This record gives sequence, structure tokens and C-alpha cells, in this order.
Amino acid sequence: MKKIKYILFALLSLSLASCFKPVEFDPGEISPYPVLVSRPECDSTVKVYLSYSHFFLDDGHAYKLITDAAVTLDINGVSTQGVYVVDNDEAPLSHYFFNVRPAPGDTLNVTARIPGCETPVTAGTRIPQLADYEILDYIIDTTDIECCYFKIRFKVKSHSPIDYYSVKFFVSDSYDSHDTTGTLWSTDEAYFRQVFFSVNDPIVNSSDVSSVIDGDDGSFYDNEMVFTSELFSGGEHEFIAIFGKWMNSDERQRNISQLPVYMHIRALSQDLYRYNLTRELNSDSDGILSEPVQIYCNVNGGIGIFGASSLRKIHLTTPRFEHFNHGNTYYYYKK
Amino acid sequence: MTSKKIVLFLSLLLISLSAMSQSYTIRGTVRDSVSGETLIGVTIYDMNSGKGVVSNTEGRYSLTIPSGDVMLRFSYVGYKTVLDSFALHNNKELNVSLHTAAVNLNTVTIRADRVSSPQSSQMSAMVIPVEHIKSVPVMFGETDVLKALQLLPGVQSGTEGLSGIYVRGGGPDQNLFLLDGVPLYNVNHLGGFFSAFNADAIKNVTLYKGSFPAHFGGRLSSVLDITSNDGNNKQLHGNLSIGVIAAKVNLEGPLYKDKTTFNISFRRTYFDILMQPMIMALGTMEDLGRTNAGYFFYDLNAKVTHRFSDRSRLIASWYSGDDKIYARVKYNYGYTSDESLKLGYNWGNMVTSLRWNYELTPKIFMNVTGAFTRYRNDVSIAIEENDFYDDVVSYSFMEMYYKSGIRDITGKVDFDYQPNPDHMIKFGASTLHHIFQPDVTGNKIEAIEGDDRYTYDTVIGQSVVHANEITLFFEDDWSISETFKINGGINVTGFAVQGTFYPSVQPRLSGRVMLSDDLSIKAGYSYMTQYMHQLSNSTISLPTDLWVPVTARIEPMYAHQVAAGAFYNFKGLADLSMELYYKKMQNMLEYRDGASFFAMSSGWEDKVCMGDGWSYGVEFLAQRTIGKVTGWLGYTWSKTMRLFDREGQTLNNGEPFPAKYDRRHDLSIVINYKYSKEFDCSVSWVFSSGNVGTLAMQEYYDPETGQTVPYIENRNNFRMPPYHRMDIGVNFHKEKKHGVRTISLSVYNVYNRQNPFIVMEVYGRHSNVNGVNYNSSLMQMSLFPIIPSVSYSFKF
Repeated sequence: MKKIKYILFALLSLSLASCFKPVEFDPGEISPYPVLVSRPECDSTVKVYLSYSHFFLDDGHAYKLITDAAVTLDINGVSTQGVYVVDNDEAPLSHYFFNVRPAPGDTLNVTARIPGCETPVTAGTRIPQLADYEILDYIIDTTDIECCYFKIRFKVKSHSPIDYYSVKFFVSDSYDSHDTTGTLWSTDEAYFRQVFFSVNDPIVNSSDVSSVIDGDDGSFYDNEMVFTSELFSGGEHEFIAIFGKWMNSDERQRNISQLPVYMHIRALSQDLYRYNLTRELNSDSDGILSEPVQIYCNVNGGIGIFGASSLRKIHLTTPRFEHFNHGNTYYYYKK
Repeated sequence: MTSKKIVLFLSLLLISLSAMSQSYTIRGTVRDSVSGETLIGVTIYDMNSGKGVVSNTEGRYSLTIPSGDVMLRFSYVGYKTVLDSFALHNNKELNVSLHTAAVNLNTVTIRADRVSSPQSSQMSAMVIPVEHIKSVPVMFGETDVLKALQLLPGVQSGTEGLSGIYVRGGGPDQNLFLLDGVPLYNVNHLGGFFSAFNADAIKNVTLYKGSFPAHFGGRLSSVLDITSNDGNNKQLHGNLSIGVIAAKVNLEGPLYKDKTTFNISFRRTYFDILMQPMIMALGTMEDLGRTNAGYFFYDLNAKVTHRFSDRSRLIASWYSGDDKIYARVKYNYGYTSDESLKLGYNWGNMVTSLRWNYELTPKIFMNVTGAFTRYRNDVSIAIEENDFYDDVVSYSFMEMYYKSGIRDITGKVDFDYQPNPDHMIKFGASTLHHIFQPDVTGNKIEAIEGDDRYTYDTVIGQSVVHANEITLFFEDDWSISETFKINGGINVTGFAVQGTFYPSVQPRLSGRVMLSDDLSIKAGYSYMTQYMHQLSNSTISLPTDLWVPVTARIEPMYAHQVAAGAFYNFKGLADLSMELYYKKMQNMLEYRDGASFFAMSSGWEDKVCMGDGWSYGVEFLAQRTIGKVTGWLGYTWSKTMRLFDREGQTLNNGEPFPAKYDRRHDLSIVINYKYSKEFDCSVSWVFSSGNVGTLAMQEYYDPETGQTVPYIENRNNFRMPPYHRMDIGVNFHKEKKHGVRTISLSVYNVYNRQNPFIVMEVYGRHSNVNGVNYNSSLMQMSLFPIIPSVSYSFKF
């Protein structure tokens, strides 16, 4: 009988043993890759960041910068040597600087020769043409006393077989700032805040393309809309973007139509589009209930991204018309 | 060749075959002497002429041999061989009953022409005796057909504890499960932990992994052909069984002696009943009101067989199996108002069929089958409120539901024609009408307050998709000589869906060469087409997995498979085999990067991409089926790859990558020891290479966004630790006044191996001189530790 008790006790102990345990994983031959990250923009100087990747189970701060590489940037066949600039405040922002300002249509190739690496790290991209757009309607709805809604109807025109875009909106906002001791320093510090917006669009809602833009239901809600003209087979397409903003007492007193609102339409190279898309898919992943995402990489001899873009910053024009309906004011801008 | 020429050729072939010799036909039925159950696959062999046949799925045989002295031998695994000699001068009806063999059979040589034996032309197939399935030790004492199959070479399990099978590099949706000839869609209970087949209701299980005979089609990788019991035609018998999680009852007997029999089996889990007091108490503690919740599954098999004559039988069969999750919570707010919440989640199959077997002539046997299959997956949640306040009655009801499923209506006719012992011809046709309902979401709202009434009823979702599938087949199992035998045939199918028609002509060929009485080599080729896909999570089997048809965009899947092997019967005691195979698959589906398994049917075609795959390997099997010690040792070395490089549908940068269920090594050992009539025991041990998964092995920092970027170089680049496990089981039988009592003890995972179910990255933080840092580690989660269980059964 005693023996049975011992056996039962042993079985119970084993049954209750933790079902979680660490997996012993030997990184073995996994050696770090050189990483090149650079997003050249139209009419801006170029920065190239070089570092090494690290094994995923290593400390999160184990990134090693590459400070002694010879980096050249070739724009339409003309080479420039990069200068390493150390950022003393934030080390990872140290970069190779090129005092050149590429124009739309320029072809860029970067080459980094890293001591100790036999193969140079290379990548190429092309500065896309600035986005062709048109603002059709701009309405501010102040029906709600605490919140106003912005509705922007805009058109994007594509001139190539496939163009890639990113759209963001910014509104001015304010915050209370505190010093390091926590004492209130000032109130109403103005800044521009990137907003989340929704797009409810026949293209977005159609089952064929909805998953490319966003989730399963086809409606879009995020702070950046990345899309391709492939969705509307080139040509042009209208979107309606809507977002809201809580109004503070001061703003309610003021004429809300004067509130500065910016729209950023960024034309992307195909590389940058694919990189952004895979990054977004990765961050939206449902863990083990979704497939893993391979982040796009166009760097040879290493990993990272070298993707170009051309940005248009559009200050949305103050609505010119007012409309009263049941005691509420609507502000319109109409072409 | 035009169709007229094909018809002419086949007609000439049939005429010439029947006119080959002046012979007589012996026909009859082979049955179990005790139960009267017909026996499938019995070898009937004339020792004088050297000709033999095998009984068909109805236990019928037809042997045409030259007139003169005949010495027939009826042999079948587990039964005593029967010899019968007589002079044959005209056609003869000979029904035979076989007696179960005693345990110490090791002195008796049995030469059953099983599909996997050296004598058969069929390769890549196995008949698994139900007694063997029942003797394999299992989890929670629940006999499981699919888990027993996972112990065979070439058949792999998905993840620990799941019933899904992966055959020769194919996915879990590439297996055709036939229950009495009718396809079954959902073969799992409890999300895959148990299979839907109740072993008490089963007579015969045959698994085909390749070299498919032409009468099978519709899936790429395997056919599991399950025949259920007809029922004892002599007297009422039954089996009651109570295990840790489920209870089973099986009853069989004659309804009208020697004419009509029945067999009915029912199984239900009772966790929900046992847990009910606890759930109600929990509801009271948490102030949830009256609470009733639980989960159970059940399956019901029923079959009635009526024999009009020895030549004519009518069989009606029914199967239904469902999983149900339910919750009901009711609140009472005094006497004036109450509120209730109902949640229901049901999924499962229902199959009903009516089959008529008729012997048209002594040489032609006909089967006519009509069947209806329904697979459904329904979720609903409803909230109801009643209120009485200030003499005003108000009522509100809100319900949301989600439904998906398939209904199939099948009609088929097939013929077995045996012009002489050298030819066994099968031909037939079938039509299948599929009604797919990929998903429907509905909302119902009803609100009444005084005289005001508001109703809202809407249904959103894809409309029903109708599809038609037709099949014609012809095959001949031809004994060219004692040495050479071939099985050749053709399966012609067509699938019409949404205005698109997909035709497919699928040739099948396999052959055998006898090198000696006990040694043969075989080779086979088969071409298979599949017209439907299952969209499922590859990690775990969810009830939300959807079956979807091919569409104008998603083309049918195709597979070419070649296999070759050597088969050796060692002194009648054991079968040894080695098979090599290579399978190429086209239009396989994989999810795109980042595709979520939620809300699958919404734009599902955009979430998948089509590509190709291939698998090759070698399988060894050593099997002993007679004697006190039986069992098998199976080993598979295999490699399974995928390539998705079509434009707009690339995965892994268009480079090949291992399939999710690619495993290099798979070993299983099963030993059963029947010590006496009172005691038997079994042990099994499995070892396999770990599953593959995808891990971002490298990370880098993107200074412009301030984020860490995970870098995955290849899909499925990480292999989990190997899987191994030992199970043991012992059975104590005791003869009682009215039957036999059996107490079964089993231990699953005897040495408590923590096998990985999933591996995940876990984030942690640690402090050092530089402050607080974050790092991650890789953790595995295991499902089943050591699980002892006990069950009690009484057979009368």
C-alpha cells in the first residue's frame, strides 16, 4: 500500500510539472549581418545608417554601429563620398551624410565597404515623381459640441503603370509641458499631431483589394494609409478621409475653421512601399494565429532598406463657405 | 482516341474476357461464424488451379475456374483457415463461416491476400484490423482510429495530441475520409484532440497513401476507407464502456433473423455534466445569476441491413457527430425584470446513405448508393430582456449568428465484374452536388415597449455556392501470370462551379512482380485531382476551419505520385516492406505573409497564394500480425518542400522552403502481447523530428522609426526539438455470466516527455550595472504530461 502511495505521489508530481520550459537554442553559425537603412527623399540631403544585426535572443540594446565603412552614393552615375556624422545625444542616429539633394526620377545606388567584410553592401533605388493630387472637398462638421469632424475628399492621379503612395494627416494640438521635476512649465504648447483617420471607399471595400489596404472588413482606420495605384488600375481615384478632434474650451471659442490641418502625400519607390507594407503587416500580426511576415529587404550583402520617396506637404485651405443647419455650423471648402 | 473508340475497345475487352474459357463460377458470402458479420478481404484460393480472389466490401466473392476437382481455401487474418473440396460441374453458391482463431496461432500459417501483402498488386496501402486499433494505447483511454494511423510509416501527426494526419507531404485537407463510401468532412472532435470515428462501430479500415485504385478520387494524398459493422445476425450483443471522459454503448443484433440486422453505437463525453455543479457554484459566487455552461461531443452510428436474398441487400446507414459549446446565464432582477444570455457553438457532420447491393449475374456485382452529407459550423449569441415597469411591458431580443457549412448530395453506381479469376474489373459513375455556404452572418433585433415595436433582421455574407462533380472510372486488376499482376485504370472527373468547368483525366497504374513465393516488387503511378480546399490554421485545428471550392481564380490541386517498393513475407509470420515515393503537387495553397486566420471567408482568395510542392521519402515497415506477440515497426525518412514563385504570389522571396509538416525522421514501434484470454498489454513508442516554424533569427534597429525590425531570412527556418513519447496499456478480461468484463489501464506519455506544442518568444527584463535591459527567450509550451487513465467495458 505504501508503494502505491509513493507511485501515485510521483505520478501526480510529474503531471503537475510545468508545461512551459525554455528551448535550448544554440545560435551556432548565426553571425550578424551588416544593416543598411536609408530613405532618401526628393530635394533633401541623404543619410545612410550602418550597423550590425544581432541574434534575436541577445540583449535588445546590443546593436553595434559600423563607424569605419567607406560609403559612396551614386546619383545618375555621379559618385559622392559619405561623411560619418556622430550623434552625441543618440548614438544610433549617427550616420553617413551626403550633401546632395536628389530630384524626382534620379537613380541612386549606395555602396558600403566595411572593413572585415569581403562583399560590399549595395542597394539601389529611384526617387519617385511627386504625387499628383487634387483636394475636392474639405468639410469641418461641428455638430458635436466637444468634437469636430474633418472630412476630406481628394483625388490621386497616377501617371505610371503602378505608383505607390502614403497618406497622413496632421492637426495642430496643444499640451501642457512640465519640467524635469514635474512642475507645470507652460500650457498650450502647440504642436502638430498625426491623426488616425478612416477611409470608407468602394475600392477599399471591394473584396478583391481590401486585404491589401487593411483588415478583413475593408474599412480603413489607421494613422497612415499606404496604397498602390494598382488598386484602381492606374488612372485616378477619389478617396474620402474622415477624422475627429476633441476641442478644448479655447478652441471652441475660436473659429475652428482656422485650425491648421496638413495632409502629407508621399510618393514611394516600390522598395519603400514593400518595406512599409511588410512592416505594417508584421506589427498587425495576430501572433500564432497568423502567418509570419518576412520584412522586405533590398540590400545586397546585408539586410535593411534603401527606399526613396517624394513628399508633398499640403496645408488644407481654410473652408470658405459656412452653412447653418439646425443651429450647427458646417464649414466648406469646395473647388 | 475518340470516345467511340474507347467504348468499342472496352466492349471488345469485356467480351473477350468472358469468352476466354469454359468454366464455372463459385460465388458466395464469407461471414464471421459468431456474429454473422460479412468479412472483407478474405482470400479464396483454389489450390488445384492456383486461382484466387478476395471478398469485396460486402463479403461477397465470385471465383470462375475450370470444371473438375476443386480445393478451396478460405483464409483471413485472425480466423481459422477453412478448406473445402468438391467436384465442380456447374455454377455453385458456397457461403462460408470462419471461426476466430485461438491466440496461439503461431503454428498456423495464414496467407491472407491483404492489400499490403506481397501477393497483391496494390502498394502504398494497409488494412488495419480494428482489433489492432483497439489495442494501441491511447490518451484518456479513448480508442482513436486516426491516432493509430499516425503510427504507420508515411503518416504523420500534425501537432501533439491532434488527430489530423499528414500523408506523404500532403496537407490535412488532402485526405479523403470515406465512411461506408460517403465522404466525411470534419473528422475531429474537441478541436482535433479526438477523431470522430468510434472504433466500436467499425468493421474495417483501409488506408491508401499512393498508387490509388481508379475507383478513388477527389483528394491528393490519401484515402481512408472505413466500413462500419452490419450487426450480428444471430442474437443481440452489446458493449458498454465507461472511460475517463466519455461513455459508449454499442448494440447489435437481428431485427428479423437472418434477414435484417442492426448496429447502433453512441458515444458522448460527460465532462460538462460532471462540471455542472461547479459551474453553477462559480456563477453564484461571481454573481452571474443562474449559470449553465459546458462542452461535449457525441457521435452516433446506426446501420440497418436487410437481406432480400443472397444476391440482394439493402443497407441504410446514419452517422452524426457534433461538438457543442453552450452557455446560458439568467439574471432575475426582483419580480419585474430578467435578462438572459445564450451562447451556442455547434459544429459537426451528418451522413446518411442508402445502398443497394445486387448480384446481377454470378460475375457482376452492383452497388447503387444515394447519400446526403452535411457539415456545419454554427455560432450564435443571443440576449433577451423582459421588463415590467410603470405598467409598461418591454421586451428586447438581440441575436447574432455565424453559419458556414457544406451539403453534399451523392448518387453513384459501381460494378464489380469478374469474368475469370485473372481479372477483377471495377467500373462506375458518380455525381456529387455540393452546396457550399462559406459563411453567413446574421443579426436579429426585436424590441417592444408598450405599443411600440421595432424589428431588424439582416443577413450578411456570401451567397450559397453550388458546384457539381461527376466521376467515371474503370479499373482492372489483372493477373497476367503467376509472376506478373497489374492494376490499371482511369478516373475521369469534371467539376463545374460558377460558370467554370474543370475537367481532369487521371490515369492510375500499379504492378507487381513476384520474385519468389514470399518476395515481390511493386511500382505504381497515380494522378490525382482535388477540387476543394480547407482554409485552416496549420498550428491547431479550429472548428472555424472552412471548406471552400475551387473558383475561377483558385484552380484545382493536382498531384503526380510514383512509388516503388519491395515486399517480403517472412515465413508467414511477418510482413516486411520498403517503399520509395516521389510526389509532385501543383496549385497548393499557402497563406500569404501576415494573413490572419480570423474572418477567413472574407476575401479568402486574397489571403492565399498558389504554388507547387514536392515530397519524397522512403518508408520501412515490419509487421507481425499473428501469434501472441504482434505489432509493427515503421520508419520514414522524408523531405517535403514548397515553392511559391508565381507572379504576385511569391512566398519566401520565390525560393523553396520546407513545408510546415516536413519531418526528416519518423519512427514508431507498436507491440501487443496477448498473454492469455484474461490479460493482454501493449506498448508504443514514437520518435519524430521536430516540427518546423518560422523565427526571426536576426533583429536590427531602424534609426529613422526608432523601432526594432525582426528579420526572417526563410520561411520555416526553425526546427523544434524532436518529439518522442511512450504509451502503455494493459487490459484485464474476465468471463462473467452474461459476457466479458474488461478493465483497461493506460498511461499516455509514460516518461513525461515535455514535447513542444508551440514555441514562442517570451520577453523579459533584467537589471545590470547599465540599468534595466530587456531581452527575450524561447519558450516551448507542452500540452500533455503523463496521463494515466482507466476504462471499464462490458461486452455481452
